[in-house]
Amino acid sequence: MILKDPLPGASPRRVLMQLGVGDVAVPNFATYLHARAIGLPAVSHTGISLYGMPDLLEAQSGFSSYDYGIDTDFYRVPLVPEQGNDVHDSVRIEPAVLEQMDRFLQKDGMVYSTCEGSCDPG
Amino acid sequence: MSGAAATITDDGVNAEFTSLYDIDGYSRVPLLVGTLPDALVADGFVDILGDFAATESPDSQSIIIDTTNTTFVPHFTDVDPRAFDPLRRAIALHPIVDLAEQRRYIVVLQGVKNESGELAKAAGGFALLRDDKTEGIRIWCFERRPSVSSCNSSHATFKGLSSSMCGPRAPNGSSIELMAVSTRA
Repeated sequence: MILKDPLPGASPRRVLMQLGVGDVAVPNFATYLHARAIGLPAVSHTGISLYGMPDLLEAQSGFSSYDYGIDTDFYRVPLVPEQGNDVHDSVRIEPAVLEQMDRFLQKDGMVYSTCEGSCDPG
Repeated sequence: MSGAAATITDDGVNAEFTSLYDIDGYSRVPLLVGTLPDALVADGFVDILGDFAATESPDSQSIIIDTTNTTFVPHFTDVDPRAFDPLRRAIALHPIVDLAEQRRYIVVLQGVKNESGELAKAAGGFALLRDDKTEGIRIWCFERRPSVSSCNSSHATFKGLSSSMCGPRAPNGSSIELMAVSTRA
């Protein structure tokens, strides 16, 4: 509805979605589901594709993930994780994330991968 | 919201999303929950970190079939670790793509194991259908098929599965049927 079928009268939208791998506060699956529902492609240099999301080098709207090397196995157990981590609050202050936002918010900006290789700021 | 309670923009334009799109409260990616009368284990299911594409195969331990186009719906499956009674562990299937409205889906479970590593017992209703012991029993939610083979012949891809169906209503009038299935040699 946001990109494919906007509300009547709505101006065209562009969306940048950013995710930290292993986020305890917002489970990655929920973010993937959201991105998939919107129809966002993944934007990375990794070539790692998520189900249903093409992996592009740049896009008008897109989705990028930042991997801190957190073991995500805790997601396998459908319970609230016993331990938290810093992923949720770390993504927004990463230089690569800020650069990506800056380039996106420029006039005629797009979603670019601002990492060389995988985005693993940790 | 409506009337004076409706949200408007600074220039007086109705900004109520629900005045343009009716909200029925149902998710397009519903949680599909069932159980089997056995001490189930999660072995063999594709979990949240698994390869979702593997659930788009007739060999998958859990299958969701869109009956309109006979395609598979990718998903992952949890077995509830919090159940107090091991005989009532919920199996929860999570579609990872939106389900269509006004669509009938079939959920298939096959080869589910119990704690002893044996095939889990079939649900009672399914066992009656599988064993053709439904004489005098009203099949309340699905037209009973004359035989298992006729069911298989309509879904040739799924040969080898025996099937029965019952289940709740799903979003926006879609009908979801929980189909308990056991593999046959």
